[in-house]
Amino acid sequence: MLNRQCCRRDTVPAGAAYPLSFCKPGQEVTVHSVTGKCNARSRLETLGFVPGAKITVVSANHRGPFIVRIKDSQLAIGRGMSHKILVG
Amino acid sequence: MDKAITIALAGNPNAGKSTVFNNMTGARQHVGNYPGVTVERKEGGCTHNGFDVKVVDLPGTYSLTAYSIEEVIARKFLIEEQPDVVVDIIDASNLERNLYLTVQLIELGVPLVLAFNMSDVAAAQGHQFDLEKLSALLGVPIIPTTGHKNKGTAELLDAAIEVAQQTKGTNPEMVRYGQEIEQAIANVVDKLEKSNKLSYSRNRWIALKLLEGDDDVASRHLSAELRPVVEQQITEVEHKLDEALPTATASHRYGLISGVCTQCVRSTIERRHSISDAIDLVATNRFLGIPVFMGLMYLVFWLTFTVGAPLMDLLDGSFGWLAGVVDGWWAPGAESALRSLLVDGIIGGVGGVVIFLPNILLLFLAIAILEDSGYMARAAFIMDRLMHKIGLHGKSFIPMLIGFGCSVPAIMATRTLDNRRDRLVTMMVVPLMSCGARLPIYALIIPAFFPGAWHAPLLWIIYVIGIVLAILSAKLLRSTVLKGESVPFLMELPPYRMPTLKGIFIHMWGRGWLYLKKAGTIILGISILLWVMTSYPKKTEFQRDYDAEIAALQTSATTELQEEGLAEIENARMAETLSYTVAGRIGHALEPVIKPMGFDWRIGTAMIGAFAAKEVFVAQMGIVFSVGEADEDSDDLRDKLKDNYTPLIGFAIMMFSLISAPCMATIAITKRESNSWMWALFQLAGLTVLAWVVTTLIYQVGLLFGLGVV
Ligand SMILES: Nc1nc2c(ncn2[C@@H]2O[C@H](COP(=O)(O)OP(=O)(O)O)[C@@H](O)[C@H]2O)c(=O)[nH]1
Ligand SMILES: [Mg+2]
Repeated sequence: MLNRQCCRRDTVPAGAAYPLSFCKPGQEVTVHSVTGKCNARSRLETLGFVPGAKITVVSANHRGPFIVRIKDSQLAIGRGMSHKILVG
Repeated sequence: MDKAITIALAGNPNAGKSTVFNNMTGARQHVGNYPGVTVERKEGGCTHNGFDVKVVDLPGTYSLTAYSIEEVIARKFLIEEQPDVVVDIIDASNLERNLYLTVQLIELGVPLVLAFNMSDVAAAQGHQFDLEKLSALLGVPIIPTTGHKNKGTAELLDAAIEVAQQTKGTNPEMVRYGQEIEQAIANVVDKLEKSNKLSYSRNRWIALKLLEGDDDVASRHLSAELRPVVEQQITEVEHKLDEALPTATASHRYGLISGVCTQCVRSTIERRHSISDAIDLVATNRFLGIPVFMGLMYLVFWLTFTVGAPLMDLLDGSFGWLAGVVDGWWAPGAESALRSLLVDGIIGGVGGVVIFLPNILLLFLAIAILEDSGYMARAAFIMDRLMHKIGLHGKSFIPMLIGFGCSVPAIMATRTLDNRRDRLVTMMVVPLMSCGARLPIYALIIPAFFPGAWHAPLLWIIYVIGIVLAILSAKLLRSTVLKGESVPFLMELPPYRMPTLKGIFIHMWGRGWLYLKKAGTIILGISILLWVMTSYPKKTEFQRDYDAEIAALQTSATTELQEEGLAEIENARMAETLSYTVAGRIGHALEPVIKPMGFDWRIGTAMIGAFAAKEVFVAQMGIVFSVGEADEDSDDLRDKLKDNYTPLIGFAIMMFSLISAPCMATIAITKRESNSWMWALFQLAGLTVLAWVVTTLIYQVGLLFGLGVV
């Protein structure tokens, strides 16, 4: 399957990047990279989570999904996914 | 002579696609499913400037990758059915994200027109657009529209028709992916061109998709000799870029879009807090979110079942009246199979289903309002944490809740779920939410066997058992037949919008009509079948000479005694007749199987009737116990039940009714919505087996503890 290849590069040298799940409401951050399975990653990329994109954390309930603003839309992101988005 | 053209509508979810579709087609549309899948397909038509225009509403998508069923369908339609023109509905207030799909459509090389929708919202947000420049940069015509005010529709149709008649395609090289990727594309295109006769633009697109690792395209175009080439290119490029290829391409597309937007969009005001944000402060609040949601759900229920009740009574009355009229065509007391078929079979059976129409319309009205206003996304968001624990999606909660009313609209409401597996699991377990039609059964049985203080807790226990079983079944299905990664939660929370009356009514009526038409035809058939089963074969030789008994009674007793005796004799005759019919025989034949649950043939017969509609159980028990017309308030029937069965059996009956074979309307709708008999039968068999196991367990354990003896 070709599919596997898109997942090959799972680990990105993270540097100073940290997961979105660490962010607090109101924080503005820049996407560094998206890790994880290609399905989920592709969906995020489609919605604009490409390196360099600016996102604002709107609400972050502990354990529940995150709400972020990216471009001009609000997105709810599950906890699991928010660990996979590295921001700087 | 009218010329025919086909327009396909593409666009992000919530960009106003349905609204524009309704504007274009008015009432001339129909809802169906894409073959083999469960995504709704809407088609409609109109005539414009002498053209016969067919409009197809594609599923809302953010992209054209192969990661969701909607995207695969949209892409397949665009490639295989080759519409004359694609109209991409864009939410101008969210331009960059919406242009991502546009860029992919351009790359696909389809004839394209952009509808610049929500221009009013964008203007209010302080965005100013240079549409001429945007149009020139993208190489496609752009028409501003305001969907909910029906502005720009005619111009949009003009432009679409014009593009449809041209042969000029879009620029497949709109996005340049940088030297490394471009080289890889060129290499793959080279190989492709040697083996197929497709246009350059299509081959470039295929090459790009192959490099991105698109399974669907690979299964069509990746030949054995091409595979190593593609794989090698991917390895090389990823090594050079130090980045996954799909990430790189997505970045390039967004890069181009961002460049285009800086040239064509001017934002005059800073983003400020909108009304939408203010509502969300409450609606998605950690503490207030759930109470608000519960309140709204209560309102939906109230609307559906309280406001619906008088309408339902009205319909019920009309069917009763109709039955009376038809009945009147025959002389009183005359035996006629045709009359019985018409009155008991067809009017009774179909009527029993059609009377739910007001509820269904009201429910869909409420759902349409919640959906179109944007609240549904918040509801899913709020419930996601809970639902996630049982392996379902936040959105599954709504259908399950509706299931307490009626499984049929509940199963239809699973349409809001995007993922097929989630949707199927939800459909399978929805009947475990005890529906309104089962209430008469509980209302008959509980008072018959249990003291007053037990009534409410027992009813509560039954509902809770249903919920617990639903949760367990969902978990089980999710880890066996419908195993699969749960879709990670990722959902847009669109800004709240005032829904339009027209949109809501079209929504509501489209689904209501579907219920009438499809469920109606199947139900008509099954009603006739059930009628035959409870009517034939006719018994001619009876064990008792009823006629003689009647004659004897008439000469001897007082009027009062006469009436009572007559009723008893008539009912005994009815019971004997029933026992002789197919249904009665099935009841007898079932006895060995249902014995472990404590049931006898009479309960078995009633269970068959309950398959038509759950509430039929009560009437059917009335027939077998010879109490004539029975309803849930019938004390006669309660006495008979008490004489014949133990409370343990009573509880077993309720358990079995709760879990077993959902009614035929549910099966029919499951077949329709899942597009497969397999799932409908799986639901039927699975729930029946579950019911048998649980009821038997309860009955046998109860016996062990000596509960059944009393
Ligand atoms: N303000 C504004 N609202 C619109 C416009 N077009 C559609 N809407 C509203 O946006 C909401 C979503 O539209 P809908 O057609 O259901 O979106 P779809 O998901 O793309 O089918 C509805 O409440 C519409 O009434 C528009 O041009 N301006
Ligand atoms: Mg829509």
